[in-house]
Amino acid sequence: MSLLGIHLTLLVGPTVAVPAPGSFMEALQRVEVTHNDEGRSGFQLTFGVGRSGPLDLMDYGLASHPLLKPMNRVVLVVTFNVVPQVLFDGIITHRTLAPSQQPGSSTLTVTGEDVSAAMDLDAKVHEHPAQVEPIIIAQLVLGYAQYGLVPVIIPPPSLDVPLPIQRTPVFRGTDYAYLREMANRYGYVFQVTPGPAPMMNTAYWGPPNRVGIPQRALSVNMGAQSNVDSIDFQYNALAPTTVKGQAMALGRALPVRTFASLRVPPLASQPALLTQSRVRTSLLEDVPDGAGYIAAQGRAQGQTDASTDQVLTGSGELDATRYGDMLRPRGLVGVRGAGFEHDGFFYVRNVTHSIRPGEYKQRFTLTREGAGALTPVVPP
Amino acid sequence: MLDPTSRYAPLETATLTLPDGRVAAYKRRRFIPANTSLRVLAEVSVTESDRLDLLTHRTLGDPEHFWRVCDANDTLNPFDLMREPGSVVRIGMPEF
Repeated sequence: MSLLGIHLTLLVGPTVAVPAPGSFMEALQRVEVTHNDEGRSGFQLTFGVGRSGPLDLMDYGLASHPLLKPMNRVVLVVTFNVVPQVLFDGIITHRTLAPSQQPGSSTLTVTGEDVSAAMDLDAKVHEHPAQVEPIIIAQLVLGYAQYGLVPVIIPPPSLDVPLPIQRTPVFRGTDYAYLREMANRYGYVFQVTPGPAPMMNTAYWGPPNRVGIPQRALSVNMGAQSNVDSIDFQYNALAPTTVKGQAMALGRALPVRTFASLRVPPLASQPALLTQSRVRTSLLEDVPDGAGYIAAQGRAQGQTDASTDQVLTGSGELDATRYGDMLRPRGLVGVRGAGFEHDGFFYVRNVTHSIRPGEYKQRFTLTREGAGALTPVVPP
Repeated sequence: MLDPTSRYAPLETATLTLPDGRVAAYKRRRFIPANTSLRVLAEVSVTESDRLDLLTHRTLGDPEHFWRVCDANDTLNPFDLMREPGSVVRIGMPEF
């Protein structure tokens, strides 16, 4: 058996996912997986089903199979040549059975979300007296050990310890909503990434990740080097926003003002906030009572940083057999062959994998804070 | 900053505070995995002009994974592996 090429492995099971039986893989028509940098990622498996033999007398074969019950765990592994990579780890949340009048075109569609869906089930009253965010987050994440969640927490630059005699922040909602809410305070993100091994997940709470080695470059219009089927870039001049307002410090109101994005490293040589002749200004949103000047400044900066993520957007589609790797969101990728304004490094916002027998496409969205490459060369 | 295909990429990064206060980051030592549970994908006989990177490209698809072949044969020095024509090189099934 040759290992070369791209292979998909499907694992399903009630609590521990095991390799799916051969009949599943024969019936599997299409796999669609969406990875988002914010919010949850999702998957969709489409199986062809039928009622052909005596075993299918009662029901469509796969529809009653115990491995495909709702809330079961699904793990997808893609092997590029030799390296197995976990594409998705999630829970079945929806099922659609579409019986058809035409023979052979009935389908069972299984849809689900990543394991953070399990953190979004039970609403509670969260009360953590005198604790700062990183400690609260670690406590919440460690409650989901059966999903193999490993917390990776980057503490925000300034922490405001709530004194129990003054205030105790209370949040009503699910663990997931609370983690997102705490991330929003600093312009941070909470995201669950599958891998590195099956049945393991990384729970990341911190600034959008822009560091690390850029992924394999996307080459546009470069002859035999091209690996992108189609791509387009949009520049939105209305997106970049500075924030101004006032906050209390030392008994008096001091101005809060932001000027530029503090996301590091910068990706564009002409960031929109500095080079555009006019940018929007918005007012500081409400800061919680008692939160100090530092918290207000942090929130203003978070709003500005988030607004610059939408200035220059590139979206397109690539053929994974030519690209030879899995493009992952929440990281950097280089673009080359699109001219100086649109070349250079981008932050990958989301990637949709579309897999069917003999075909593997990835649709992607890239963003950065303005036009112009920062480096003279993008490595392939 | 290691390439994801590197054998050192999955290792833990530790930090050490030097006497002058600087903090140095380093990778922990890597041990060659014991091959008791190795699943053998193929066994290849070495020919006169063959090279390890060519062999790896033929069998595993990417020459940068030559270290996986070395690991499967308990070889510390990659140049020893292909020295003798006719010797048999095991190719292991890659794992996570």
